[in-house]
Amino acid sequence: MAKPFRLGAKLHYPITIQRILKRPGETISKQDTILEYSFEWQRVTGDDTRDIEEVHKQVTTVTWVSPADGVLKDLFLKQGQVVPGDTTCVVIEETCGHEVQFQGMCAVCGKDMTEVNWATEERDTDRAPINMTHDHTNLTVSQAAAQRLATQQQTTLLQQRKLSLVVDLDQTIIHACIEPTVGEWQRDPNNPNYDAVKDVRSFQLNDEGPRGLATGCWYYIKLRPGLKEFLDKISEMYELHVYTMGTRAYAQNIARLVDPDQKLFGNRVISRDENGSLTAKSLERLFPTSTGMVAIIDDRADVWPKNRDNLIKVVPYDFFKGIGDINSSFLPKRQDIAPAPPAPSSNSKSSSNSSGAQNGKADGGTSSGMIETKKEPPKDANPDAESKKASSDQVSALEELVSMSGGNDTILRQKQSEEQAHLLEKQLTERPLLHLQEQLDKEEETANSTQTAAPADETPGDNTPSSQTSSQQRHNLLRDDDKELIYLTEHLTNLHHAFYDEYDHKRSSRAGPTHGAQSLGKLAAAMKDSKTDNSVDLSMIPDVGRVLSNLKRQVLAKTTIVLSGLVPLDIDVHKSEMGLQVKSFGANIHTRVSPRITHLVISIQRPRTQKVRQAARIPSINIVNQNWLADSMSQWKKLEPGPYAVCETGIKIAQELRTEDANAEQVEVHPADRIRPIKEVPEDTGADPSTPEGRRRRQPPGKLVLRVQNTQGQEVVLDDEDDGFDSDDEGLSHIGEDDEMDELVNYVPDDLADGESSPIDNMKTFNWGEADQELEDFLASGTEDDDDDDDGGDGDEPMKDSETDNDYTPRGLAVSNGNQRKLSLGLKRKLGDDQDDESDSGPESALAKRQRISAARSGSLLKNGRSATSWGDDTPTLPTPDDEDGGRNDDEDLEEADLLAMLEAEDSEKG
Amino acid sequence: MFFLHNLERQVTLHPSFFGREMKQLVTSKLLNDVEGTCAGNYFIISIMDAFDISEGKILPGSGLAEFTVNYRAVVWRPFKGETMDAVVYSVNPHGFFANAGPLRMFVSAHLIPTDIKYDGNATPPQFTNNDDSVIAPGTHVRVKVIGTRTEVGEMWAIGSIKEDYLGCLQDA
Repeated sequence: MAKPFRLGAKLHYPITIQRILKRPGETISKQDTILEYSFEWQRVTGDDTRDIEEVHKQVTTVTWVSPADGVLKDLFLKQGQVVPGDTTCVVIEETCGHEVQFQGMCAVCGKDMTEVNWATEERDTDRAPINMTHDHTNLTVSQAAAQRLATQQQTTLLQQRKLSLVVDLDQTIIHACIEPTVGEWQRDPNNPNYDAVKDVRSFQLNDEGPRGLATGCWYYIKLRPGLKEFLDKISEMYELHVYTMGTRAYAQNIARLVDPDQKLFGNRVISRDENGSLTAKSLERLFPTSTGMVAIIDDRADVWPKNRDNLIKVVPYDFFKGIGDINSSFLPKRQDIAPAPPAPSSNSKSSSNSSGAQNGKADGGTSSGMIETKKEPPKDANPDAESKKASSDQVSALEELVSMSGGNDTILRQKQSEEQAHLLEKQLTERPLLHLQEQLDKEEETANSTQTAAPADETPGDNTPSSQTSSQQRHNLLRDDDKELIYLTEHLTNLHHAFYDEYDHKRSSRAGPTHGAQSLGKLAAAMKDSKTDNSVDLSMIPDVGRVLSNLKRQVLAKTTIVLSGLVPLDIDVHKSEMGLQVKSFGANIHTRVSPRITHLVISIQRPRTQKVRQAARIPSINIVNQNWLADSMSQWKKLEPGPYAVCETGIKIAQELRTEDANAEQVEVHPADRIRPIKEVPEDTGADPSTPEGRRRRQPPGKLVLRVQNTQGQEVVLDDEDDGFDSDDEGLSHIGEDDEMDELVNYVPDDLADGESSPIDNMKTFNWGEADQELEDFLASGTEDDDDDDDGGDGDEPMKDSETDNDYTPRGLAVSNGNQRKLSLGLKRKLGDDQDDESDSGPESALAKRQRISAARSGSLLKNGRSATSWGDDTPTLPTPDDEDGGRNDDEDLEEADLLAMLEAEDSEKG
Repeated sequence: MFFLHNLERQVTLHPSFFGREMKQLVTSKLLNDVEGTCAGNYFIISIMDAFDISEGKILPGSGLAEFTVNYRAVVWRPFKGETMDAVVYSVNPHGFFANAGPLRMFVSAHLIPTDIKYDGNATPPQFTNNDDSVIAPGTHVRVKVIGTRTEVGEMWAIGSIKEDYLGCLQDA
């Protein structure tokens, strides 16, 4: 093709063309002289010492050579012409445009593109800058070639009436882990988990690089239920691409599992190895010229910074997590093992908050309120001191390696997280025994109680023993995820229809005037029939991003939402991950409660914020928990708030702090269809925690409940802080209590300030068996000083606390074993929670007492122990999100002060 | 093209290997180090023999012994214009990748006969003329090299099948 060339900016203009050596039509090769020109310049001669200086005018004639091979098409210069500045001088029909290059060679003519000479300023390698091949990074094409190919692809797609769909692997269509226990379960038909894991597929990665201990380990892959049907159905409407942050080998193995015949994905698989970025995915990598016909399904929105419009966010698939919810110590690790997810989450420091938000949502979609910490747990997940040490060693060694190879920071971090994942894998090999033992314990325990430990799928009852919980979990998960893929099928079908409706409409409306009489509909139909085979109209292609946005926008249109407790205070809700998503579904987000808002979405964990109280006074506002939002966004339907509603009477009651627990229950009960056994909690509230019996009774149903309860307690305390500034309309007694609460806040894990990452995240890795044991031990001792019968051990609970502080904190300090420490930490928290629960329900009489006690506690080891040992130790080895936590802890007081100031400001504003 | 080539290489041996078997160790080390590598613009396919192993010289400081080994090896140098057989390993709309032994080559769609077209919907994706030519991963093709390029330890080539008698090898 003909290409114009300029003289070049570096000549000594003005120049005079002296001679032209080539005529248009002649074949020229690079560096052939095309013309000669002359220019004037001044030469200064003289002697500095004698200050003699002479200026000579000189005229020099030089040659201008061809910058390219080909045929001279046109020459714009004439002999004798004076050229004042850089201008286009020749047009050369190049023999080869070097449009496709492979490893520095032109793939068409075979020339070395890396050669540089003085004939041209442009480097040949720059002609083909675009890398758009799935499986290679060394093949690049020019913009024009990319465009041609894209056009061709789009034409094919339009002819087939398809769209492109980029599919993420991990947690979107599969869930992977390398937990060896899964293999054991698979081999053991008697295992209660057998049913759940029997269809888990596995493979070994042998061609991985230095994977350390994980070399040759088995990857266990659970396909999302209904995946086969989903993909079969979807592949009729979409051309599928795999885009994963896993390694190439991993991606290919998964693709082989998911699509053994290569019918669905073909070779359209792109992995981290070819992605070019370790933190973000980009549609431009695959579709450099136009993303107008591409949709994405992914469980994470934050890895698609540039292509949000095209993204359909999927509720993360969390299979192994669900199983492991009993053996919570496993789960994070399993989670972590999936190669892809940890990388982005640990890398994108900036988005860690937003991912937190995302997590908050994720929890809504899955079966329990506690699953929320999807991405975080991997980092919280290595409580074993030795492994921690090992990891730091490994990491440092790795750091060296990476720095040696000149890797940049992101690569380093990526590698670190990878390495960490591998170490966690190592832990996995140790964990199973622990886990199984725990399971056995639980089985025994539950065998003693009412239920038998026989595996039964249909007992999702409150007292389901942990051994059964697996099957029960599975049941739950399967049901949930089935829905997700069904919804997804729906959405994608809708999108496809909407896209092609618009396309047809556009075409027919354009064709309409020319054809005259025919009605649009008829014409469209005619088009469909006649034109699908050959003619397509690329100019008429609607943009999938826009179509999708329109579809999504209708979902929550005319909804005005205020989020409460879901986005951290220091994050602008409009910029938070959750905010962005909510807005993408057409809802308005407000930051303040007003009669105009339609829904107040609150966190299950934080049911008593100021906003809730304000909203409770406005009957038109539906107060719903975040599951409503998550489910609505998952189902693309504005769901009835009914099942998600947070009972308003509960809120009202909540305004009197006494009945805090009752309120907590109310909030809990409503999403009860998702969180199982809360019904039993109300009876417990009063006396339960104080008696070992009640405690034990609450334990078996699954930690979920207990933890929810705990969170409740913790969160509640913080909320009470809010109360202090919301006091204008509330009783005096209330205020008094608030003051105390403010004080108590000192002892509450402070990352509570951030609504998203609740401190109990760590408790997922918590060894519940031991904890129960210890808890019971100390509870047994605690019951002796039962003095306040009426308010549920309000008085003695704090006492116990102080006891436990003395009992456990030293252990936390002394024992270097991470598990132990974690345990004591967890216990502390739990106790703190209980205490807070109680305190909330406590009457005024208890106030003084508690104040006294809390004052005493302020000097106790609790705080020191926590910040010095547990947190201090945890932070360095754990990737980003935890760093954040750590930081927060360090600035504990500061943060609190900030919070107070902020709340004060808000209050005064309101006033 | 294959050549028998006389080459020279310095081989160092750790003092712990000093002893009667030394020459043998030097030879085996040479084999390990050299065979199958890309040395500039050719690949060392196989070492025939090490016909001259010099006296070992102790390197000051490290104690390692350095031997200068003259050896004869079969080397393979792909030339521009040479025709060779290769196995396809990846196909995409721009062309296909093939391995000719250790040499990775790319054949662009421009250099594939115009009747052989890319079919991305076939399984596996392939270049085909819907007749006897089907180029998919695993297919044996006869390719003419039209350009090569080397970097340290690596070599790539651009190939073409747009000429007579090139392309799919039927009964391969």
